[in-house]
Amino acid sequence: MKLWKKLFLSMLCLFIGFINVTIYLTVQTVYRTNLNRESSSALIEQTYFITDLLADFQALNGRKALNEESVADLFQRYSNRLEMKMVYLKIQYNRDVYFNNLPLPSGDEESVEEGKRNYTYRNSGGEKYIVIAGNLPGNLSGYTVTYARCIPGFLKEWTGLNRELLVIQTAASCVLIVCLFLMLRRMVSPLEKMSETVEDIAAGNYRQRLPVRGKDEIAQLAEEFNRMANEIEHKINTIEAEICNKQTFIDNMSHEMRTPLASIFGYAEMLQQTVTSREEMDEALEQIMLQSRNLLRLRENLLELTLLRQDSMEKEKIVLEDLISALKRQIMSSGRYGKYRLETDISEKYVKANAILLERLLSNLLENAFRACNDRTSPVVLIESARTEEGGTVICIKDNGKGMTEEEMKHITDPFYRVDKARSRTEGGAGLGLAISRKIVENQGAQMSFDSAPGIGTEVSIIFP
Amino acid sequence: MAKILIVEDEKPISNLIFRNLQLAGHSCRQAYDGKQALAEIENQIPDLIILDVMLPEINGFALMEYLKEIPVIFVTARDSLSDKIKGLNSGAEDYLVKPFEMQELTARINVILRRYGKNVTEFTLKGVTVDFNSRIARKKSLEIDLKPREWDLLEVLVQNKNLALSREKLLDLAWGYQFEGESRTVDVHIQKLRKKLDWEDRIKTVYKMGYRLDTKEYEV
Repeated sequence: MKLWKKLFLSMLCLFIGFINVTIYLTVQTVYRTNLNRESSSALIEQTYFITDLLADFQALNGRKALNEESVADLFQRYSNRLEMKMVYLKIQYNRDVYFNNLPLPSGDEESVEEGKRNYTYRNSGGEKYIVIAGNLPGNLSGYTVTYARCIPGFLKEWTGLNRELLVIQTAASCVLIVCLFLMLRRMVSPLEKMSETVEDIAAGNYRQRLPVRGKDEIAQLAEEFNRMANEIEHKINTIEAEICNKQTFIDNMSHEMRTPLASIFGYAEMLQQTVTSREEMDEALEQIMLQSRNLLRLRENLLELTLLRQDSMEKEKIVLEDLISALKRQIMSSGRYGKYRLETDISEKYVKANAILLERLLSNLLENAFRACNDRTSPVVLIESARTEEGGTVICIKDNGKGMTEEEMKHITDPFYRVDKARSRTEGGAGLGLAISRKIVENQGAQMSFDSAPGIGTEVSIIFP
Repeated sequence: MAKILIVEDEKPISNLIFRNLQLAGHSCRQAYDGKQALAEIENQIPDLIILDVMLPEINGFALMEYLKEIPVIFVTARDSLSDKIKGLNSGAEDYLVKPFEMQELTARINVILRRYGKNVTEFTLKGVTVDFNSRIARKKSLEIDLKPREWDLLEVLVQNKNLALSREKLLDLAWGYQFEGESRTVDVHIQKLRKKLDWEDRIKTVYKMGYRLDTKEYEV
């Protein structure tokens, strides 16, 4: 993973660089401060020394004894005294060195301006020295006095300290590297995991989800991601179900069309190719007509099913009594259901709906109700209407027919769904009746529900607003 | 020729198949659902079963369990690939999708009967016996000489007896489309057959259709 490597390296460089620089600067500052402190005290000492020296020189001068010997001697005495304090001296008159016990390689100290003094630092023999040089004032300005004070242990201390610090730095860096590494890995691993999960989902495993730990941005991202995955899974499922439905629809439609076509084709072929008796010819022609009619009806139903998707048809106030009586007459006169009883109980006279659609709807439902009662000894179908609380109308159709199971009820309004799996023609139609009914109900803004028990009967309720 | 059981719940279709197979010379029975089918089989084992998949009571596929030794042709409106595979895998000899032409059904039936050794290779009409295996035709005891092309045509006529076949169909079934003749060739050969077998009144010309071998006396 490149991100964490980038993070790691950049943070590492930053931290180490930062730490090192800080330590270095700190050390330098402390060093300087220490040195300055030492220098200040050395400078002060040197001032006192020069004062004393001047006094002594004055005395010598008074006795006219100021010469190389006496100066050297003087300095020797100074030296002895100051050696304990680790101070070394050198004095030269112009170019002649009268005394020098500086433990330093000889070098020309630059001549200094009168009244001013220079000081530098020198290292020698493992020790640091502050070397202060200056000319004596006045008529003694030919003399250059060098005062070197050792700062004992300074160098050693500092080298030692440096070494220690180096060790500390290295150790700290190593620890930093390890800790940073682990920490970054840990923080970034959820991202890696996310990437894996995303790959998994993209490969088709839509059920996968990310674990949500904590409350930080990554956790938030995981949550959002999970939500998105939910959506996707849901959509995919819906789409797959849709496709499945469509496929079933097409399969069923195809089947419904094949059977009448097979009949028509078969009988026509028979008429064309074989010698047929009068009866056979009549039967063949009758079948051809019958199946052709079936196909036409199927086509009409399908058209209805698709057309109903569009805008709702206009509604009016319909007098239920009239509509139902008309339906009753129609059904009873068709002869098929002569022995059936159709009872009515209209307590709510009016319903607001489209007349044509309502007639179609009730006709469909009644047809179904009658069919369900086919094998009953005393089939009874009841239509009733009542007023709902919200001011609408509810119409119920009850029958004491063979009823259906929970499972069948779920699918009963699917296009082409037949409870009879063999799709036998004698007992039922193509399976579009209830699909159309549902479409009509939706179109009118109403609600349809079923209640049924196998062997007992079925009740269909439609609530019109 | 063979004893065939037709198991189909749609009566018109069942009747159609029944009629056509009877014309082709088979003796047929009909059953309208799975239970009935089993009863009929118990009664008398058929040589071949025409079976519809979508049946009430027991569906076609399930029925296959009971029909292990009897050749079965599935006849159905379901044409999805998975159904076809399922059908053939369940042990059926063949799978036909409705609507189909009768000739196709009769041809496939013949193939299966031949495979099971149940087809009849002899045919007799008006004193003339033809043997398709040995390709010998006899009247009384006199051998009739028929050319190979004539045999091909004769076989097709006999297999589809009582069915009218167009010239194109005869051409295709007898000699295949590789044969680059005109349909006039059919006329010529038909004439020859009529003459040689003395079947002038049996090989009928069907107006606007083609030819038909009639095996029954009809009153039109």
